Amino acid sequence: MLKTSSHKTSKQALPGYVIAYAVFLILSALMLHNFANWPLPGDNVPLLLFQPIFLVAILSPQLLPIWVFFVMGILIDVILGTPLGMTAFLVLLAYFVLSRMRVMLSAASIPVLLVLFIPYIFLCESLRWVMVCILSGEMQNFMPVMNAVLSHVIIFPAVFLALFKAGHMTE
Amino acid sequence: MNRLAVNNSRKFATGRSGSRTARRQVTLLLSLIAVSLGLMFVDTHHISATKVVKSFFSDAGAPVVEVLTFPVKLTGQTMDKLGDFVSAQKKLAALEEENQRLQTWMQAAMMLESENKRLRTLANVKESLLEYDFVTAPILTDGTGVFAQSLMLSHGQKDGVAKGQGVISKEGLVGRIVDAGTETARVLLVNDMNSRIPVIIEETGDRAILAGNNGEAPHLDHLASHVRLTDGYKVITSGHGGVFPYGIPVGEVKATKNGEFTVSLFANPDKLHFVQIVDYGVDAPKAGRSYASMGF
Repeated sequence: MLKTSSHKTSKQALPGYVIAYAVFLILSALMLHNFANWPLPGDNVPLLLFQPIFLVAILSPQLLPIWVFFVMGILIDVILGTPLGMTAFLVLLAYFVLSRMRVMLSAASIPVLLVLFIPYIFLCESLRWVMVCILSGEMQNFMPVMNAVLSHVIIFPAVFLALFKAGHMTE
Repeated sequence: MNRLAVNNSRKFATGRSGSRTARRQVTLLLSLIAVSLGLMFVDTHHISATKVVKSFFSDAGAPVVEVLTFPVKLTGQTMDKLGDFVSAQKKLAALEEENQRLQTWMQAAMMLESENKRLRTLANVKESLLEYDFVTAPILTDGTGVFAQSLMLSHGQKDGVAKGQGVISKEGLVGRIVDAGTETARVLLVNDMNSRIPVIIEETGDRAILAGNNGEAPHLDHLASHVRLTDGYKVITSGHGGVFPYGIPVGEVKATKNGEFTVSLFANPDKLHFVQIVDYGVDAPKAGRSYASMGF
Protein backbone atom coordinates (compact mmCIF):
# COMPACT_ATOMS: atom_id res chain seq x y z
CA MET A 1 0.00 0.00 0.00
CA LEU A 2 2.73 2.43 0.95
CA LYS A 3 4.62 1.56 -2.23
CA THR A 4 1.45 2.10 -4.23
CA SER A 5 0.89 5.45 -2.56
CA SER A 6 4.38 6.72 -3.17
CA HIS A 7 4.19 5.46 -6.74
CA LYS A 8 1.08 7.55 -7.20
CA THR A 9 2.79 10.73 -6.13
CA SER A 10 3.76 11.22 -9.75
CA LYS A 11 3.35 14.30 -11.90
CA GLN A 12 0.04 12.91 -13.07
CA ALA A 13 -1.26 12.39 -9.55
CA LEU A 14 0.10 15.65 -8.14
CA PRO A 15 -3.00 17.86 -8.58
CA GLY A 16 -5.02 15.49 -6.39
CA TYR A 17 -2.57 15.84 -3.54
CA VAL A 18 -2.37 19.57 -4.11
CA ILE A 19 -6.15 19.84 -3.77
CA ALA A 20 -6.14 17.64 -0.68
CA TYR A 21 -3.46 19.71 1.06
CA ALA A 22 -5.09 22.96 -0.06
CA VAL A 23 -8.39 21.87 1.46
CA PHE A 24 -6.55 20.84 4.59
CA LEU A 25 -4.81 24.20 4.88
CA ILE A 26 -8.01 26.17 4.24
CA LEU A 27 -9.80 24.21 6.97
CA SER A 28 -6.91 24.85 9.36
CA ALA A 29 -6.94 28.57 8.56
CA LEU A 30 -10.67 28.74 9.20
CA MET A 31 -10.18 27.02 12.53
CA LEU A 32 -7.37 29.27 13.62
CA HIS A 33 -9.47 32.33 13.03
CA ASN A 34 -12.86 32.32 14.65
CA PHE A 35 -14.83 32.23 11.42
CA ALA A 36 -18.17 30.87 12.55
CA ASN A 37 -20.24 33.42 14.35
CA TRP A 38 -23.67 32.00 13.79
CA PRO A 39 -26.36 33.88 15.71
CA LEU A 40 -26.75 31.03 18.17
CA PRO A 41 -25.89 30.90 21.86
CA GLY A 42 -22.34 29.87 22.68
CA ASP A 43 -19.12 30.19 20.76
CA ASN A 44 -18.42 27.68 18.10
CA VAL A 45 -15.16 26.88 16.44
CA PRO A 46 -15.72 23.34 15.17
CA LEU A 47 -12.81 20.96 14.90
CA LEU A 48 -12.73 20.95 11.11
CA LEU A 49 -10.11 18.22 10.94
CA PHE A 50 -12.94 15.76 11.53
CA GLN A 51 -14.16 16.44 7.99
CA PRO A 52 -11.16 15.39 5.89
CA ILE A 53 -10.71 12.43 8.22
CA PHE A 54 -14.21 11.19 7.40
CA LEU A 55 -13.42 11.13 3.69
CA VAL A 56 -9.78 10.15 3.82
CA ALA A 57 -10.31 7.27 6.24
CA ILE A 58 -13.24 5.86 4.28
CA LEU A 59 -12.54 6.62 0.64
CA SER A 60 -8.97 7.67 0.02
CA PRO A 61 -6.53 6.53 2.70
CA GLN A 62 -3.71 7.15 0.23
CA LEU A 63 -4.57 10.85 -0.02
CA LEU A 64 -3.16 12.12 3.27
CA PRO A 65 -0.86 10.15 5.57
CA ILE A 66 -1.91 9.60 9.18
CA TRP A 67 1.00 11.56 10.61
CA VAL A 68 -0.30 14.72 8.89
CA PHE A 69 -3.38 14.56 11.11
CA PHE A 70 -1.23 13.96 14.16
CA VAL A 71 1.04 16.92 13.42
CA MET A 72 -1.90 19.19 12.65
CA GLY A 73 -3.61 18.09 15.87
CA ILE A 74 -0.53 18.96 17.89
CA LEU A 75 -0.11 22.31 16.14
CA ILE A 76 -3.74 23.21 16.72
CA ASP A 77 -3.35 22.40 20.42
CA VAL A 78 -0.28 24.60 20.62
CA ILE A 79 -1.87 27.49 18.77
CA LEU A 80 -5.31 27.38 20.37
CA GLY A 81 -4.02 26.69 23.87
CA THR A 82 -5.78 23.37 24.41
CA PRO A 83 -3.94 20.59 26.27
CA LEU A 84 -1.16 19.20 24.09
CA GLY A 85 -2.27 15.98 22.41
CA MET A 86 -6.02 16.40 22.91
CA THR A 87 -6.89 17.32 19.32
CA ALA A 88 -4.44 14.78 17.92
CA PHE A 89 -5.98 12.09 20.11
CA LEU A 90 -9.51 12.92 19.00
CA VAL A 91 -8.79 13.03 15.29
CA LEU A 92 -6.72 9.86 15.35
CA LEU A 93 -9.37 8.05 17.33
CA ALA A 94 -11.96 9.10 14.75
CA TYR A 95 -9.63 7.88 12.00
CA PHE A 96 -9.13 4.56 13.75
CA VAL A 97 -12.85 3.91 14.22
CA LEU A 98 -13.64 4.89 10.62
CA SER A 99 -10.84 2.76 9.24
CA ARG A 100 -12.28 -0.25 11.10
CA MET A 101 -15.58 0.38 9.31
CA ARG A 102 -14.02 1.19 5.94
CA VAL A 103 -15.18 -1.90 4.04
CA MET A 104 -18.79 -1.32 5.06
CA LEU A 105 -18.83 2.48 4.63
CA SER A 106 -16.91 2.61 1.36
CA ALA A 107 -19.75 0.74 -0.34
CA ALA A 108 -22.19 3.51 0.52
CA SER A 109 -23.43 6.00 -2.08
CA ILE A 110 -22.75 9.75 -1.94
CA PRO A 111 -26.13 10.72 -0.43
CA VAL A 112 -25.80 8.02 2.21
CA LEU A 113 -22.28 9.22 3.10
CA LEU A 114 -23.54 12.78 3.38
CA VAL A 115 -26.29 11.66 5.72
CA LEU A 116 -23.93 9.43 7.71
CA PHE A 117 -21.66 12.42 8.22
CA ILE A 118 -24.24 14.03 10.54
CA PRO A 119 -24.28 11.32 13.26
CA TYR A 120 -20.51 10.90 12.80
CA ILE A 121 -19.80 14.57 13.42
CA PHE A 122 -22.27 14.73 16.28
CA LEU A 123 -20.47 11.83 17.96
CA CYS A 124 -17.05 13.37 17.34
CA GLU A 125 -17.98 16.80 18.72
CA SER A 126 -19.77 15.16 21.64
CA LEU A 127 -16.65 13.15 22.41
CA ARG A 128 -14.69 16.38 22.35
CA TRP A 129 -17.20 17.84 24.81
CA VAL A 130 -16.81 14.79 27.07
CA MET A 131 -13.03 15.20 27.01
CA VAL A 132 -13.32 18.84 27.95
CA CYS A 133 -15.66 17.94 30.82
CA ILE A 134 -13.18 15.34 32.05
CA LEU A 135 -10.11 17.56 31.71
CA SER A 136 -11.75 20.62 33.23
CA GLY A 137 -13.52 18.61 35.95
CA GLU A 138 -16.72 20.56 35.33
CA MET A 139 -19.93 19.91 33.43
CA GLN A 140 -19.87 22.17 30.37
CA ASN A 141 -22.59 23.77 28.28
CA PHE A 142 -23.64 21.40 25.50
CA MET A 143 -25.06 24.11 23.22
CA PRO A 144 -21.73 24.91 21.49
CA VAL A 145 -21.61 21.27 20.36
CA MET A 146 -24.81 21.83 18.41
CA ASN A 147 -23.37 25.02 16.92
CA ALA A 148 -20.23 23.18 15.91
CA VAL A 149 -22.27 20.40 14.29
CA LEU A 150 -24.25 23.01 12.35
CA SER A 151 -21.04 24.65 11.11
CA HIS A 152 -19.71 21.25 10.03
CA VAL A 153 -22.90 20.37 8.15
CA ILE A 154 -22.83 23.69 6.28
CA ILE A 155 -19.18 23.42 5.25
CA PHE A 156 -18.97 19.67 4.62
CA PRO A 157 -20.48 19.47 1.08
CA ALA A 158 -17.71 21.76 -0.26
CA VAL A 159 -15.01 19.74 1.49
CA PHE A 160 -16.61 16.53 0.27
CA LEU A 161 -16.60 17.66 -3.37
CA ALA A 162 -13.02 18.92 -3.24
CA LEU A 163 -11.60 15.81 -1.56
CA PHE A 164 -13.69 13.48 -3.68
CA LYS A 165 -12.24 15.16 -6.78
CA ALA A 166 -8.77 14.94 -5.27
CA GLY A 167 -9.35 11.24 -4.58
CA HIS A 168 -10.27 10.69 -8.23
CA MET A 169 -7.19 12.55 -9.44
CA THR A 170 -4.87 10.39 -7.44
CA GLU A 171 -6.42 7.24 -8.89
CA MET B 1 -17.95 7.02 -6.52
CA ASN B 2 -18.67 3.45 -5.44
CA ARG B 3 -16.02 2.12 -7.74
CA LEU B 4 -13.45 4.48 -6.31
CA ALA B 5 -14.45 3.55 -2.82
CA VAL B 6 -14.37 -0.16 -3.43
CA ASN B 7 -11.05 0.11 -5.26
CA ASN B 8 -9.56 1.99 -2.37
CA SER B 9 -10.83 -0.37 0.25
CA ARG B 10 -9.60 -3.30 -1.80
CA LYS B 11 -6.22 -1.71 -2.20
CA PHE B 12 -6.10 -1.14 1.47
CA ALA B 13 -7.53 -4.32 2.80
CA THR B 14 -6.73 -7.17 0.42
CA GLY B 15 -3.69 -9.05 -0.74
CA ARG B 16 -0.67 -10.08 1.30
CA SER B 17 1.23 -6.80 0.90
CA GLY B 18 -2.05 -4.96 1.41
CA SER B 19 -2.73 -6.67 4.71
CA ARG B 20 0.85 -6.11 5.83
CA THR B 21 0.52 -2.43 5.00
CA ALA B 22 -2.82 -2.28 6.74
CA ARG B 23 -1.26 -3.81 9.85
CA ARG B 24 1.55 -1.29 9.68
CA GLN B 25 -0.98 1.52 9.34
CA VAL B 26 -2.92 0.28 12.36
CA THR B 27 0.28 0.01 14.39
CA LEU B 28 1.28 3.54 13.42
CA LEU B 29 -2.20 4.81 14.21
CA LEU B 30 -2.30 3.16 17.63
CA SER B 31 1.23 4.39 18.39
CA LEU B 32 0.28 7.96 17.54
CA ILE B 33 -2.86 7.67 19.67
CA ALA B 34 -0.70 6.47 22.55
CA VAL B 35 1.74 9.35 22.01
CA SER B 36 -1.17 11.83 22.01
CA LEU B 37 -2.48 10.40 25.27
CA GLY B 38 1.01 10.58 26.76
CA LEU B 39 1.41 14.21 25.72
CA MET B 40 -2.00 15.03 27.17
CA PHE B 41 -1.08 13.41 30.48
CA VAL B 42 2.22 15.26 30.67
CA ASP B 43 0.64 18.59 29.76
CA THR B 44 -2.30 18.36 32.14
CA HIS B 45 0.09 17.56 35.00
CA HIS B 46 1.92 20.86 34.43
CA ILE B 47 5.28 19.31 33.71
CA SER B 48 7.49 22.25 32.83
CA ALA B 49 9.10 20.64 29.78
CA THR B 50 5.83 20.90 27.86
CA LYS B 51 5.75 24.65 28.42
CA VAL B 52 9.12 24.96 26.72
CA VAL B 53 7.95 22.76 23.85
CA LYS B 54 4.72 24.73 23.49
CA SER B 55 6.51 28.07 23.51
CA PHE B 56 8.95 26.78 20.92
CA PHE B 57 6.17 25.56 18.61
CA SER B 58 4.16 28.77 19.13
CA ASP B 59 7.14 30.89 18.16
CA ALA B 60 8.12 28.66 15.25
CA GLY B 61 4.58 28.38 13.94
CA ALA B 62 3.71 32.07 14.26
CA PRO B 63 4.83 33.15 10.75
CA VAL B 64 3.08 30.14 9.18
CA VAL B 65 -0.11 30.88 11.07
CA GLU B 66 0.10 34.52 10.05
CA VAL B 67 0.28 33.57 6.37
CA LEU B 68 -2.37 30.89 6.76
CA THR B 69 -4.92 33.09 8.47
CA PHE B 70 -4.28 36.16 6.32
CA PRO B 71 -7.02 35.44 3.72
CA VAL B 72 -9.55 34.62 6.45
CA LYS B 73 -8.68 37.77 8.39
CA LEU B 74 -8.81 39.87 5.25
CA THR B 75 -12.24 38.49 4.36
CA GLY B 76 -13.49 39.16 7.88
CA GLN B 77 -12.15 42.70 7.87
CA THR B 78 -13.65 43.38 4.43
CA MET B 79 -17.03 42.11 5.64
CA ASP B 80 -16.77 44.36 8.71
CA LYS B 81 -15.94 47.34 6.52
CA LEU B 82 -18.85 46.58 4.22
CA GLY B 83 -21.13 46.36 7.23
CA ASP B 84 -19.81 49.70 8.48
CA PHE B 85 -20.38 51.25 5.08
CA VAL B 86 -23.99 50.05 5.00
CA SER B 87 -24.74 51.43 8.45
CA ALA B 88 -22.65 54.61 8.04
CA GLN B 89 -25.57 57.06 8.02
CA LYS B 90 -27.08 55.60 11.15
CA LYS B 91 -23.72 55.59 12.90
CA LEU B 92 -23.00 59.17 11.90
CA ALA B 93 -26.22 60.39 13.49
CA ALA B 94 -25.45 58.43 16.66
CA LEU B 95 -21.89 59.78 16.76
CA GLU B 96 -23.06 63.37 16.37
CA GLU B 97 -25.43 62.90 19.28
CA GLU B 98 -22.70 61.26 21.33
CA ASN B 99 -20.29 64.03 20.44
CA GLN B 100 -22.68 66.66 21.81
CA ARG B 101 -22.96 64.72 25.02
CA LEU B 102 -19.20 64.21 25.29
CA GLN B 103 -18.50 67.91 24.78
CA THR B 104 -20.39 68.59 27.98
CA TRP B 105 -18.60 65.78 29.74
CA MET B 106 -15.24 67.01 28.52
CA GLN B 107 -15.72 70.31 30.29
CA ALA B 108 -16.56 68.51 33.49
CA ALA B 109 -13.66 66.09 33.02
CA MET B 110 -11.16 68.90 32.56
CA MET B 111 -12.28 70.50 35.79
CA LEU B 112 -12.11 67.17 37.58
CA GLU B 113 -8.68 66.38 36.14
CA SER B 114 -7.27 69.61 37.42
CA GLU B 115 -8.84 69.04 40.83
CA ASN B 116 -7.64 65.44 40.79
CA LYS B 117 -4.07 66.51 40.06
CA ARG B 118 -4.11 68.92 42.98
CA LEU B 119 -5.50 66.28 45.32
CA ARG B 120 -3.01 63.64 44.11
CA THR B 121 -0.15 65.99 44.76
CA LEU B 122 -1.49 66.70 48.23
CA ALA B 123 -2.03 63.00 48.99
CA ASN B 124 1.20 61.92 47.26
CA VAL B 125 -0.65 59.35 45.12
CA LYS B 126 1.60 57.83 42.46
CA GLU B 127 0.16 56.70 39.13
CA SER B 128 -2.96 56.79 37.08
CA LEU B 129 -3.86 54.10 34.58
CA LEU B 130 -2.43 56.21 31.78
CA GLU B 131 1.04 56.17 33.27
CA TYR B 132 1.71 52.43 32.94
CA ASP B 133 4.00 51.08 30.23
CA PHE B 134 2.13 49.37 27.45
CA VAL B 135 2.76 47.81 24.09
CA THR B 136 0.23 47.39 21.27
CA ALA B 137 0.13 43.92 19.77
CA PRO B 138 -1.78 42.47 16.81
CA ILE B 139 -3.89 39.37 17.39
CA LEU B 140 -2.40 36.37 15.64
CA THR B 141 -5.14 33.82 16.16
CA ASP B 142 -8.57 34.26 17.55
CA GLY B 143 -9.03 31.03 19.43
CA THR B 144 -12.19 32.03 21.19
CA GLY B 145 -14.59 29.21 20.66
CA VAL B 146 -15.68 25.79 21.67
CA PHE B 147 -12.34 24.79 23.13
CA ALA B 148 -10.30 27.87 23.75
CA GLN B 149 -11.17 31.18 25.30
CA SER B 150 -7.80 32.61 24.52
CA LEU B 151 -6.03 34.81 22.02
CA MET B 152 -2.58 34.43 20.61
CA LEU B 153 -0.57 37.60 20.10
CA SER B 154 2.38 38.09 17.79
CA HIS B 155 4.39 39.82 20.52
CA GLY B 156 6.47 37.96 23.07
CA GLN B 157 9.26 38.31 25.57
CA LYS B 158 11.45 40.14 23.06
CA ASP B 159 8.86 42.93 23.09
CA GLY B 160 8.73 43.03 26.86
CA VAL B 161 5.65 40.84 27.25
CA ALA B 162 5.63 38.71 30.40
CA LYS B 163 3.27 36.36 32.19
CA GLY B 164 0.78 38.18 34.40
CA GLN B 165 0.56 41.40 32.40
CA GLY B 166 -2.89 42.79 31.74
CA VAL B 167 -4.44 42.98 28.30
CA ILE B 168 -6.89 45.74 27.46
CA SER B 169 -8.51 47.27 24.43
CA LYS B 170 -9.86 50.76 24.04
CA GLU B 171 -13.22 49.42 25.27
CA GLY B 172 -11.95 47.77 28.45
CA LEU B 173 -10.37 44.72 30.04
CA VAL B 174 -9.68 41.78 27.70
CA GLY B 175 -7.68 39.36 29.86
CA ARG B 176 -4.19 38.63 31.05
CA ILE B 177 -1.05 37.03 29.67
CA VAL B 178 -0.74 33.40 30.77
CA ASP B 179 2.12 32.32 28.53
CA ALA B 180 4.85 34.33 26.90
CA GLY B 181 7.22 32.83 24.35
CA THR B 182 9.99 34.75 22.64
CA GLU B 183 7.85 35.80 19.69
CA THR B 184 4.29 35.08 20.81
CA ALA B 185 2.10 35.29 23.88
CA ARG B 186 -1.23 33.79 24.96
CA VAL B 187 -4.02 35.79 26.55
CA LEU B 188 -6.51 34.17 28.90
CA LEU B 189 -9.76 36.03 28.28
CA VAL B 190 -11.89 37.29 31.15
CA ASN B 191 -14.77 35.05 30.09
CA ASP B 192 -12.65 31.90 30.26
CA MET B 193 -13.88 29.59 32.97
CA ASN B 194 -10.48 29.68 34.67
CA SER B 195 -10.57 33.45 34.93
CA ARG B 196 -11.45 35.03 38.30
CA ILE B 197 -11.09 38.78 38.64
CA PRO B 198 -11.93 40.87 41.71
CA VAL B 199 -14.25 43.66 40.61
CA ILE B 200 -16.29 46.44 42.10
CA ILE B 201 -19.61 47.91 41.06
CA GLU B 202 -18.80 51.54 40.41
CA GLU B 203 -22.21 52.96 41.35
CA THR B 204 -22.68 51.06 44.62
CA GLY B 205 -19.14 50.14 45.65
CA ASP B 206 -20.15 46.47 46.10
CA ARG B 207 -17.36 43.99 45.64
CA ALA B 208 -17.59 40.71 43.68
CA ILE B 209 -15.57 38.21 41.74
CA LEU B 210 -16.02 38.18 38.00
CA ALA B 211 -16.06 34.48 37.16
CA GLY B 212 -15.66 33.37 33.56
CA ASN B 213 -18.01 30.70 32.28
CA ASN B 214 -16.85 30.39 28.67
CA GLY B 215 -19.99 32.19 27.61
CA GLU B 216 -20.25 35.72 26.31
CA ALA B 217 -21.23 37.13 29.71
CA PRO B 218 -19.25 36.04 32.81
CA HIS B 219 -21.15 36.10 36.09
CA LEU B 220 -20.63 37.92 39.35
CA ASP B 221 -19.75 35.59 42.23
CA HIS B 222 -19.53 36.28 45.96
CA LEU B 223 -21.86 39.25 45.90
CA ALA B 224 -23.33 39.96 49.32
CA SER B 225 -26.86 38.52 49.55
CA HIS B 226 -28.51 41.87 50.26
CA VAL B 227 -27.05 43.53 47.17
CA ARG B 228 -29.55 44.65 44.56
CA LEU B 229 -28.10 45.72 41.26
CA THR B 230 -29.67 47.33 38.25
CA ASP B 231 -28.93 46.62 34.61
CA GLY B 232 -26.31 48.98 33.24
CA TYR B 233 -24.28 49.48 36.42
CA LYS B 234 -20.62 49.73 35.50
CA VAL B 235 -18.18 47.03 36.60
CA ILE B 236 -14.50 47.93 37.07
CA THR B 237 -11.50 46.09 38.49
CA SER B 238 -11.17 46.49 42.24
CA GLY B 239 -7.40 46.22 42.47
CA HIS B 240 -7.61 43.34 44.95
CA GLY B 241 -5.74 40.11 44.35
CA GLY B 242 -2.71 41.88 42.94
CA VAL B 243 -3.27 41.22 39.25
CA PHE B 244 -5.01 44.36 37.99
CA PRO B 245 -5.00 47.85 39.44
CA TYR B 246 -8.18 49.62 40.47
CA GLY B 247 -10.43 51.14 37.85
CA ILE B 248 -10.08 49.26 34.57
CA PRO B 249 -13.52 49.20 32.90
CA VAL B 250 -14.81 45.66 32.49
CA GLY B 251 -18.49 45.78 31.51
CA GLU B 252 -22.06 46.43 32.56
CA VAL B 253 -24.25 44.50 34.96
CA LYS B 254 -27.06 42.47 33.47
CA ALA B 255 -29.57 40.63 35.63
CA THR B 256 -30.59 37.12 34.60
CA LYS B 257 -34.00 35.52 35.02
CA ASN B 258 -32.86 33.33 37.91
CA GLY B 259 -31.76 36.31 39.98
CA GLU B 260 -28.05 36.10 39.24
CA PHE B 261 -25.99 38.85 37.71
CA THR B 262 -23.84 38.60 34.63
CA VAL B 263 -21.57 41.19 33.07
CA SER B 264 -21.89 42.28 29.50
CA LEU B 265 -18.25 42.89 28.61
CA PHE B 266 -17.17 46.13 26.98
CA ALA B 267 -14.41 44.43 24.96
CA ASN B 268 -15.55 41.88 22.41
CA PRO B 269 -12.57 39.69 21.41
CA ASP B 270 -14.28 38.69 18.16
CA LYS B 271 -14.08 42.26 16.94
CA LEU B 272 -10.55 43.04 18.03
CA HIS B 273 -7.55 43.23 15.74
CA PHE B 274 -5.11 44.83 18.19
CA VAL B 275 -4.81 44.89 21.98
CA GLN B 276 -2.68 46.75 24.48
CA ILE B 277 -0.51 44.74 26.83
CA VAL B 278 -0.01 46.71 30.00
CA ASP B 279 2.66 46.13 32.58
CA TYR B 280 0.96 46.96 35.86
CA GLY B 281 4.03 45.87 37.74
CA VAL B 282 2.24 43.08 39.56
CA ASP B 283 3.41 39.49 39.98
CA ALA B 284 2.03 36.74 37.81
CA PRO B 285 -0.35 34.42 39.67
CA LYS B 286 1.59 31.41 40.92
CA ALA B 287 -1.17 28.86 40.54
CA GLY B 288 -3.55 28.03 37.76
CA ARG B 289 -3.37 26.46 34.36
CA SER B 290 -1.30 27.96 31.65
CA TYR B 291 -3.72 26.86 28.97
CA ALA B 292 -7.15 28.18 28.26
CA SER B 293 -10.11 26.29 29.57
CA MET B 294 -10.89 24.74 26.19
CA GLY B 295 -14.16 26.22 25.69
CA PHE B 296 -17.75 25.43 26.33
